[in-house]
Amino acid sequence: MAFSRAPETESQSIARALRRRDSEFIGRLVSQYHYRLLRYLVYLTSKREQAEDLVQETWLRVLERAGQYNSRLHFEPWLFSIARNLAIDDLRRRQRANLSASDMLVLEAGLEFPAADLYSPFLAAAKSEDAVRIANAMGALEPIYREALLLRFQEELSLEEIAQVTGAPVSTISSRIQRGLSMLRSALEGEADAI
Amino acid sequence: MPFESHARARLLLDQAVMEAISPDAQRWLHRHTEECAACRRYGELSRRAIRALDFFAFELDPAAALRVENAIRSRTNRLASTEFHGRRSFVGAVAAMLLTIAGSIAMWQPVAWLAGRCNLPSSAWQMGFAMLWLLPSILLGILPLFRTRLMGDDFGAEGKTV
Repeated sequence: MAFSRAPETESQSIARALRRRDSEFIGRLVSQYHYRLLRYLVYLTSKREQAEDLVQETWLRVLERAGQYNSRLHFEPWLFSIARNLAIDDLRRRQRANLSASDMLVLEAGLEFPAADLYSPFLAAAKSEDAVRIANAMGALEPIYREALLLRFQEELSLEEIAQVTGAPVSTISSRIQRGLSMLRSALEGEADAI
Repeated sequence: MPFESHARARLLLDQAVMEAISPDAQRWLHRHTEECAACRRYGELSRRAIRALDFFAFELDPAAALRVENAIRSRTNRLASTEFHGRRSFVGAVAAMLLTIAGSIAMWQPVAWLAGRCNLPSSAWQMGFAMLWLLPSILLGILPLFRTRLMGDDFGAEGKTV
């Protein structure tokens, strides 16, 4: 009796294409994830131009580390974690001259992205009245909360996947999302304190 | 209504937007928010905030996206080609080594016979065999493995195109 092979999952197809250096598949993958990757990096770095450079670097790193991708896990968290590490490295390079040793330790923990410029990128991207308020709140939010909110609600990653991207425990991610949401609720209500 | 109920409701409302909560918790939360306007508002504000995040969108430059895609395709092709040559060189080196071993075994007796005819001492003809047959064969065999390194690796040579 012949058994049919189980259909290949998306993660398995991606892993196989990366290993085989399938340029057609990888080209499609780049195109498919371009917007999400750019959006994540823009919100992370607050700089569109820097984010665009990092998008390409991220894909080059993906190609270099193709053999390390575990096809049992989703592709997005792996991709975003590479992008995040590159953004941290880039920031470290840019700020090295201006940072003290203690600042470097915080930076190496991946927690100290710059606060967003209030007029960019959030306000520029806000397409509704609520979004304008939220844009202001997001701009003022500490980067670790902002990142957790964006990964959960824009990228729709699970708490475990966000933990994988950021290297923080799930409980910490959960707290960051709660704290971030609390600040966004305050912004919508126009109150100084969270509900 | 006790304070603990509101605290629990808000905790569950926060959990519900992050991950699935149990059907029991859902039922309890539904009953609570029907009766408690403050907690209902809390949940609505959370949902509005999350919806507002969906309204963030920015323009994508199709030309920049295409440049990245093309750069990555081209790098992928280059990597594939380099890896293919690397594998081919490895296979070639293994084949050359096997041929060297087989050739050495086949040549040993005739060379020994010839050395005997010419009254050459063993150490001399064995040294000569190693220098003139074995060493060049081994070198020719392993040379392709170092070819990429000797000719220069062009990984990382590609400039940014974004």
